[in-house]
Amino acid sequence: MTPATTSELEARLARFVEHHVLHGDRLPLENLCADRPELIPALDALVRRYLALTESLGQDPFAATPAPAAPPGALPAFAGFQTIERIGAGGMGEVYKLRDLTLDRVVAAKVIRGDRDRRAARIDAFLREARALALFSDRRIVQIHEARLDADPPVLIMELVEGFELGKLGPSLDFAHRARVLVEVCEAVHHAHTLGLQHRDLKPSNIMLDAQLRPRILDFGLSAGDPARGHLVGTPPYLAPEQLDPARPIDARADVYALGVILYELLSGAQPSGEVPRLPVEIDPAAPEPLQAIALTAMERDPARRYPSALDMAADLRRWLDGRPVLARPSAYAMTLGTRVGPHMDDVREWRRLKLIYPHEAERLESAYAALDAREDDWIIASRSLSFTQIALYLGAFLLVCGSLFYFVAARWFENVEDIAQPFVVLALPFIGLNAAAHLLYRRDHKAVAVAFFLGAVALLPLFLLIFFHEAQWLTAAAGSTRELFDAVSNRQLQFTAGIACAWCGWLALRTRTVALSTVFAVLVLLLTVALIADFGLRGAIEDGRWDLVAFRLLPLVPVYAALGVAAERTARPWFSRPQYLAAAAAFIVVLELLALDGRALQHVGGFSLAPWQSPDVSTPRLLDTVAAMTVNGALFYAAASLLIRRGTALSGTAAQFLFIVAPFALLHPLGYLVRTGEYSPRWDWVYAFCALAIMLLSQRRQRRSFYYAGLLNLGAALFFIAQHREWFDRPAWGVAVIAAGLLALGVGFILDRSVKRHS
Amino acid sequence: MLGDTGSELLERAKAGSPEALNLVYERAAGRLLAFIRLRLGRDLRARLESRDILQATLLKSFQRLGDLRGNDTRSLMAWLARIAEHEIRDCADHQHRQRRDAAREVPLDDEAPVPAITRSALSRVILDEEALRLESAIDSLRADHRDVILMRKFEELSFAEIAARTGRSEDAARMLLARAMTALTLKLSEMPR
Repeated sequence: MTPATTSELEARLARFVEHHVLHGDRLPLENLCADRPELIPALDALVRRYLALTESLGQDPFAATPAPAAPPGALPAFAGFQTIERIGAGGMGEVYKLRDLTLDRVVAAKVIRGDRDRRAARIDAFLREARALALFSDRRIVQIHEARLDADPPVLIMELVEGFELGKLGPSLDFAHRARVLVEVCEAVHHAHTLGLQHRDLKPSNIMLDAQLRPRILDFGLSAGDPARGHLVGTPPYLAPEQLDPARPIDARADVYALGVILYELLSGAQPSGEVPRLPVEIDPAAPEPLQAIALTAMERDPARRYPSALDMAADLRRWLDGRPVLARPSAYAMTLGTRVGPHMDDVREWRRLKLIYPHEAERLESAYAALDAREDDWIIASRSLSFTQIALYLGAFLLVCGSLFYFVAARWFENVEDIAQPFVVLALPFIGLNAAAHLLYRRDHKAVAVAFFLGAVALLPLFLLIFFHEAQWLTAAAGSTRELFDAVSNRQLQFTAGIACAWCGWLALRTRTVALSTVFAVLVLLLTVALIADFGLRGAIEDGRWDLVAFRLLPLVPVYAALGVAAERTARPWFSRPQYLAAAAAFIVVLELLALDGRALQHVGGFSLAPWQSPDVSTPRLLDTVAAMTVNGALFYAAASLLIRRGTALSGTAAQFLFIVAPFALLHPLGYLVRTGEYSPRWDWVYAFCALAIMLLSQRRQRRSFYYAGLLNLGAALFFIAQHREWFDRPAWGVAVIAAGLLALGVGFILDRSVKRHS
Repeated sequence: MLGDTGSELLERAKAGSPEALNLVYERAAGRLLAFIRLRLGRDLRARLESRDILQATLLKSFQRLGDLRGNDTRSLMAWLARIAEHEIRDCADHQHRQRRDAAREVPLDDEAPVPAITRSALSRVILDEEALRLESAIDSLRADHRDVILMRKFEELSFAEIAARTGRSEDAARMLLARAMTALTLKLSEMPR
């Protein structure tokens, strides 16, 4: 419609209303639109709206109104019953109050509305409801007494529930009461589910509260158990998403969804709307957060994220009623937080652009917000803060391990244990005990304690296995084998131990979602890898001092850790992924440094060596090669960190930060190494000191504290070497010179400060 | 019983029938709450609890039931609306004072025991979606349009009274109402259903 038409229409409506208000009668629309007859339909709609509006605004609730539209004709009569009155109407039937003349009690009767043809179509549903009700033996589901399908009209004689609808009474109950009512509703619904039937039309008006506030569920008219049928019927706000999509199966969790909406409504007094509904706490600040979490969990769009059954929802509600923490973790929280963190991030970027805050401050704020986005479970965060409970529990687990070790030492090396329990029995006891207690506690929601116990058990497992293998003489090394890493333990034993411990710990880490167990897992992976590569002559390489060979053998650790990290991140397990990335970075550093230390790195990688240029006076072999490779390492660490920051994810960012911290030390320490050997010209120690100073000055540009600290530490070392090489320790002048240099630096700082102030 | 008119109900309520009184309150509460919310407008609604005012209104009317003349020309609803109007003014003043003197904590409503009857009416009153749509439409009208609708349709003032209150002529008051109703109709037809 064009704006011109709209204003034409508005002018005509105004004339109609004016006339109606001033004179009390209605102008004919034909007269109003004599010149533009095509406007009549649109004007008619507006006029109707106006008339409806005047009626609803002017209605007096006390005006004598006829009793609510009585059904045409007389009340229906049924043999053996006296019809008292009509008490309600549902989607397909009407409900009457009857007196049972034989038993002299009052009952409810549900009849099918409509003429004979319509009745025939509805009789199936009617029969289904009757049969469903007859199945149930739960007092909280309305009871059926009799079904007379051949009567006219067909009728279901049911128990009469007198009371109030949950929707109307709910707001006047306190929250604990509302939760208690819902527990009963959930349990009754679950009863129906165990019989293979879903209600599929749960809503507050289908739940009556009797005088004792005990809920009764009514109207099983749409109930069904067939997952492929019954879509698109029910009451919209209570319909689960899968009920709206005929391609998706409907199961008991559709009722859980409706229960969630009912709880949402009980908490907030409003019906949820939109993809991410407002939190009930925002609508009614008094609503308890745990109940809100339960409602939102039941209302998850994906059935798999809801409570698996109504009984589980009832159990969670009971947890809240008992004052225990609830299990509900709605994804709506993350989504709501996600949508709200975004604008803050934009703010931070804007502040940074306007130079209201420094870049490093912006980074800190951004990383704090990013951490909010990828938040872990509350109980993990809670278990990170140290409480005395936690301290005692971790201490207990630690002492258990220590005690077992002492006992083992007493038995193994001092042979003071005779005819008492074998060491492996002593270790097995705490292992099994800790595991059993942990499983029990984990299931009872004392998760923080359970994790502490799991940690203790995981630490004990390798010890226990090794001692067990040792005492049972299983998997021992063949006599004279040169590939064994240790004398007391065979490679095979070590591999089995590490493999079992790895699998156990990995499973626990995935189950408990904790960083602590994931970290232990990373350590166990190291053990397993070392045990595996021991078969490839690791010991020989160590004994020969061939660090390059050791490094090559350890190299697989880097891709293994990185692959674990990527796999965990791809499957949304950030708590598992981060320790693996860190371990990959650590392995990367260790391997490269070992390779450099040996001095053959350049030979291996580039096929050349700096040895020909090395002065024959120098006693350390391949000194130049070592120093060069170490320097290259520093650059490599820095490059890897930059690459990770730019290309990596937030999770690998931690590993990148770690590399960034190590890089300046790695860049400086080759010089320190060279100076320490005392080979070559003694002047190198001055170069060392200047390089340290340069790195410190460089730190200003990128605002990297690690550069500053690395420079400071190395400068200290350089000053020490300078004094050592020249034997200046007994000279007070050296101390005075350093003091003078310090005063000079202070003076420079003072002057810079003054000039900066003068500029501003 | 459902067909009782206001005056019959009121007579019985005054005669001391708790059932009749209960019915009076139950029927009045919805419309009264709608009036209170509209009268508060968006600003005050955020600060004052409309249900508290409804409760206070019902309580006052309960105490003043005896004052009400048996054959009041205006409806019972208008009488209740006027009590609510006073209550809102008191509360708003009170709020204003409190905001000026934030250090002084004064409880908003005295701890008068609420009769069970008003409580049951309170617990049942709900605003349906239609009422909320109407509310937001009226909220978005110009202030004089909103006021004239409230005065005419809820307080049931005569055009002479409206004219006196707004300082207009009677005809101007009629025109204002016509324009207000036109604006409201258009506003409602713009809103998604």
